[in-house]
Amino acid sequence: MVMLMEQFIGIVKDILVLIASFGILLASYRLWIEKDRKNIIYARIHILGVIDCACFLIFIALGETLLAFVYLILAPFLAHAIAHAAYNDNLSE
Amino acid sequence: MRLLGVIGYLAVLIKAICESWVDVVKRSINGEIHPQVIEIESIINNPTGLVLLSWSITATPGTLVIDLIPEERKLKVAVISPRSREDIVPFEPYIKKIFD
Repeated sequence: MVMLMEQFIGIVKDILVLIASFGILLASYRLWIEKDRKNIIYARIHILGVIDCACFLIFIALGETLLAFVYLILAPFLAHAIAHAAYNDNLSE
Repeated sequence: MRLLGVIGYLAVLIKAICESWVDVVKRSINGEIHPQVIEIESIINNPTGLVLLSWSITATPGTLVIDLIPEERKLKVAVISPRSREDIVPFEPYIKKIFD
């Protein structure tokens, strides 16, 4: 029974990693093909947010819990810093 | 009572992140991306609460805090497509319950 439970957890972890990886690929696709236009930098940062969440999930699945939560907390600050700098960019256009 | 606020906040945050994650992935596929910057006013008075609110908004894919003006409790938020205020800050009442 314990063996069965461990196998089940292993399968769930694999599925989570698969979903997260697939999400990263799908989101990254848009990063490449989207042309420059108004506010598009924020859209790109939104897509990076998807990748951040997926990475958090992968870290959890791989057992790196501490790294996962550090990443979870720091990633939004990074996104905010980039967006804030872009918003106040005097060199725009 | 504060514990209930924390639990509610975590539950709503996780739900919002999951929903937004799927939504942004969908938009990455179909290309329906219309980013815009809007300004919203918060009901939270505590500066730490405002920071947590900003963090939560930025942690959710599809919404992004650009600027925070604590004196006026205003946030500049970039959204990946137009959406209502309630969809941007579903966790605000819980944060208010925790900090105020």
